[in-house]
Amino acid sequence: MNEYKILFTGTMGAGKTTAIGSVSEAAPIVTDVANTDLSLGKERTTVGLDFGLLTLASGDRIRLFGTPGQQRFDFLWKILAKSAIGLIILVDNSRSDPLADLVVYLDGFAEDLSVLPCAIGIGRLDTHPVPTLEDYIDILANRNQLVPIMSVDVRRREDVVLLIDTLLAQLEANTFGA
Amino acid sequence: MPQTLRLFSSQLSVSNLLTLKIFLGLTKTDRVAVWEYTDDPEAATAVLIDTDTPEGRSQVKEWVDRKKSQVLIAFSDKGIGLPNGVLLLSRPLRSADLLAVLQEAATHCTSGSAGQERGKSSGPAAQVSALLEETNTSASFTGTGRVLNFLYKNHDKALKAIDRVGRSVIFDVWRRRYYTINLTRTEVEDLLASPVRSVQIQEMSSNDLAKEIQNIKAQDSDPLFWTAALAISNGQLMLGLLLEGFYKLNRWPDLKKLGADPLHMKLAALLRSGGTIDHLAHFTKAPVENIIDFINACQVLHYLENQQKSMPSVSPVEQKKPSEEKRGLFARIRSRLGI
Repeated sequence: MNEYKILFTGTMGAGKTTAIGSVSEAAPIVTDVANTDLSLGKERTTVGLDFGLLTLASGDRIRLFGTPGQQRFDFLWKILAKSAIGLIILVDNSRSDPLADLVVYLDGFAEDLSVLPCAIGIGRLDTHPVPTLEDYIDILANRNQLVPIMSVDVRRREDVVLLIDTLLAQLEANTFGA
Repeated sequence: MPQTLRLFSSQLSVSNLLTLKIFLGLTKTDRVAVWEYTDDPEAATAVLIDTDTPEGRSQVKEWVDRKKSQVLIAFSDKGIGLPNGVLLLSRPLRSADLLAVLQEAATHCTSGSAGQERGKSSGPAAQVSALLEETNTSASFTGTGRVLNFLYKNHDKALKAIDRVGRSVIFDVWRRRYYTINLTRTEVEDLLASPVRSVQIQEMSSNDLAKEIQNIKAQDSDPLFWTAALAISNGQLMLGLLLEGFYKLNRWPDLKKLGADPLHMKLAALLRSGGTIDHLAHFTKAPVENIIDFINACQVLHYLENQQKSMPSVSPVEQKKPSEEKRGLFARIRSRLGI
């Protein structure tokens, strides 16, 4: 039996716990505590990590890890990224500077992103249309990073599945591609 | 004063021939070329042959061997394996497709160098080209090719397209938006597939644009252009794109917005690092025409880098050997997620 790891990262409130919960076969194990950041508008936030699981027909397991969002835990990001097969970055567009938020994670995982398939999901674009998806694409283009990016509602399972499918397509391209 | 050009056909079914003759009548109002049907192959300016029949295919071969000066149009489902210079009219017979091909044929004829052009043609890329040469900034435009290709060429403009019955749609091409009050999405798609000459197109100033769209809801033109490009592509590369060219994405297509086609997802992933159409077909095991459709759609939305150089061919022994284990893993994950 093999085990594989997909990592979900992103700002506090971006929906990492929700995203994992929407595809995990069992309720994710969470390490949430009461949120003391009143600006965030949520009662609880993850300080350790979230964990979800997908068991395949072969018995192989896909472990879904959610990192704590706070930048002060970035040492954990690197540990979790080790041996991961893919990284999903979630950004909350309702935050004050979501473009800068994205940059934090692109920088935080810079070493891993050279080899690790990644997909970026931008949440709450429907209610907070600025910055636009194009603005994010510009940021990526300026950094010379061609990373799949799309608007998502992590409460919708199909959106999370599309993010994972995007990772799989990249893995296949890396494995079988030219 | 329009020229009168004559079309002869061969191997067409009775119903297609009747339809063809009716459609030719639509060119009567054309300002450049009016097409008539002729039963005399020698008097024809262009010859239309159904190449999905063995007889039709051998007639095409004979035509090429004889190096006739007439323009040859192949009526075919796929058009695979056509010689250079042969125009493709895809099945089923549709007026918009026919008019676009006839305009292309008229361009060959009126330039007086059909034979030379065929000689210079660089594979399927040039065969069903619809890009316009005209990039003038006059108030209204005429030209050859389809409306979609015209908009692609004029990507920095705001343009108003008015169909034959006066219904209009405004394309703010630069901002990737369109506005209409009396056309449905399907009708706008049909308009994009129409020949430019069948539509009146006017350039709009920013003031006119602002005034006209005041009370009209903006709609994202990306999904519209994407769908239209896939629909009219028919496995033939747009003008300027080469079958042996090297293609690479300059941005990731928003496949959630454009339609999450699993093949498109794989192609986009492969095109992150770039590849030729042959390579893409090899690795995805998809038909070449589907790859070409995707390349065209990416080109229309400006997702491709302008990288036309050929890539050295990779021999089978140099290619990475597919790991069945990994292929199986990805399939199992997809299956588990219900993809």
